[in-house]
Amino acid sequence: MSRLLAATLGVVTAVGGFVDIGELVAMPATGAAFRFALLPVLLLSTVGAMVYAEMAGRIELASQRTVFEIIRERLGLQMGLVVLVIGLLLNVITLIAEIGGMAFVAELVFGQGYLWFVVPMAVGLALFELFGRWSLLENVPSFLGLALLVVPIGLLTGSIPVPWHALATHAVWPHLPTQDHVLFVTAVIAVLGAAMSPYEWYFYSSGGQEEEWTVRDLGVNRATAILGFGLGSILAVSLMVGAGLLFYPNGLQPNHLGQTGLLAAYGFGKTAIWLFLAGAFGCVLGAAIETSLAAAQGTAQFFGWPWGSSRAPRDVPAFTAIYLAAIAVALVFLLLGFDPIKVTIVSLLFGVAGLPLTLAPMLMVANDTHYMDDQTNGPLANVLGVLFLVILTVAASAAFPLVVISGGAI
Amino acid sequence: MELARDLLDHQLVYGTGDATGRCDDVEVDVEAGYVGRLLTGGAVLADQLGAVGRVATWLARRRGRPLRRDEADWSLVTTVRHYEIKLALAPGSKVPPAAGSAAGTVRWSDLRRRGVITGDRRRMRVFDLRCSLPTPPDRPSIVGLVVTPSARWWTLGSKRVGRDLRFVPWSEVALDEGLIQLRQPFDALVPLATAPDPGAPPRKELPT
Repeated sequence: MSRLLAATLGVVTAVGGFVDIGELVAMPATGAAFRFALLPVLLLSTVGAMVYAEMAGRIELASQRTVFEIIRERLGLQMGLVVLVIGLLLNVITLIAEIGGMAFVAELVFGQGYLWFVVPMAVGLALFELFGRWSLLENVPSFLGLALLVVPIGLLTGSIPVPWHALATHAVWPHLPTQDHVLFVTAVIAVLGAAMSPYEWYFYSSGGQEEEWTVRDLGVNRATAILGFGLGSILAVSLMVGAGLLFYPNGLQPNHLGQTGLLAAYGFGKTAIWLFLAGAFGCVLGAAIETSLAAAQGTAQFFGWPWGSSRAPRDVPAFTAIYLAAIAVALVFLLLGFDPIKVTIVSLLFGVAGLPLTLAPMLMVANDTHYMDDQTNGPLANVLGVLFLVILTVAASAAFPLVVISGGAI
Repeated sequence: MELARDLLDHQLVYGTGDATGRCDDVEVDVEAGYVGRLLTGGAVLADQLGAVGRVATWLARRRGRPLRRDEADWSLVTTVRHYEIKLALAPGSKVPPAAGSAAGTVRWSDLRRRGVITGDRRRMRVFDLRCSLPTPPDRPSIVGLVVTPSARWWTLGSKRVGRDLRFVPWSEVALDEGLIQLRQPFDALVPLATAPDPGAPPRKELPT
């Protein structure tokens, strides 16, 4: 019974945790610009996220080490340090976007400019992480994030019929645009980056150790990765499809979270916007916690320092100092006037650029019997793992030029 | 046990199991044929990071907090497991100063950078050091050297990537200044899979 409860809780937290500021920005923007053309990319990326989340969890279960501990042991100091530094940079860039997202929600609620809320949000986040235990940090934002279900439910019950046939056709057969090719490729990489964020796997792997998973939890791991990420992607799909239905025909481009909230209002009226905002806040809060903690967990694990969100800050001083420093750095960037929406797009593109360096060691370790014993990858995990590694390596080579060309816009 | 695979970069823990750092380098007594002290701390890492390490050392010194360097004698080791090395230390206590290094002591980070020349003048690279795994406090003795013809650039500097791994008994290895001479020609070197293997440290018994 307790395993069933753990699996259910894991799936729920993964559903809420799948969506972050990347999805909230990129999905409506790409739906508004290209209607359903990027649906296959989103579905494919979701499968990739599931495959590597399951792998990260299984690595933790079989070797009793987190992904970063194995990166240090398997790649050694120099190469491991490269992966750590890239991971840290990505975490901090994403954290800037997430704290900006929290401030955007506050702006919509209180009607003042988002910059007024940047400091209270960052301080609140730091205090929540300092005094909240692991279960609180993981479950509160995830359950709040479930309020975003108002978007898919609103679409299903709204007055504009969902074109199921067109959706099914687009899902299996990509429809490439005849113009705006650079913008389209940028959008493809942004969708890939939104669904496949490295911090999700680092955090997931560390979560296994925080929750003291055992070999009995292999089923919980699989359910969380497949069902949780799969159901979570429904939220992302609904944001893209909703924008394709409402914004695309009218030539509108959502430039603000408030406009994305119209997707919820369309189904249930004005009150649904409050649910949307609660859900969006839960998602960005959860992602802010994950990115800041993932930075601290990864560094502490790499250097062998004590870490853990349920331990008193005085027992894990370096771990605590790193996540507080990450929040402080993100705050400084926001106060300097960096646009959180542009930072989000840049973080998605850079995220894809850094993904192959994250995934290759995971794939290598998941096939190493020295670490995995009898829990090494099966043929399906290997075929899918290599396929996504190749796709992401190709996408990574295009990511840097696209950041320069697009200037952080979709 | 293989030194780079099973000791280097592994978690060091106090007697209570609390983390205290990683095994950042290992001293090897190449003349006596034993594994020596385990090195840990920022200064040990900085030594291996070239210019980046020198900048980190300079910055730390300027701040008045020099990087830490701890040298744990093997006598402090109580257990070596697949996933951690346990030291006979209470949480928070410092590693007691060890006696100076023996004359023939080389750091693993220096040894692995040395070029390897086979008896037929073929160039190879150090991959790992195979050692015995006695019950502590007995020191592990060196059984042989694992070498690979893979160039370092091919492995992108990562620690455990190499093809065509060969084993050389320690008695067949001669260390010259900055170079490792193997008496045997390449074709006489034993493939690693068929070489004597003292076994890896025990795995963690996974909790059920």
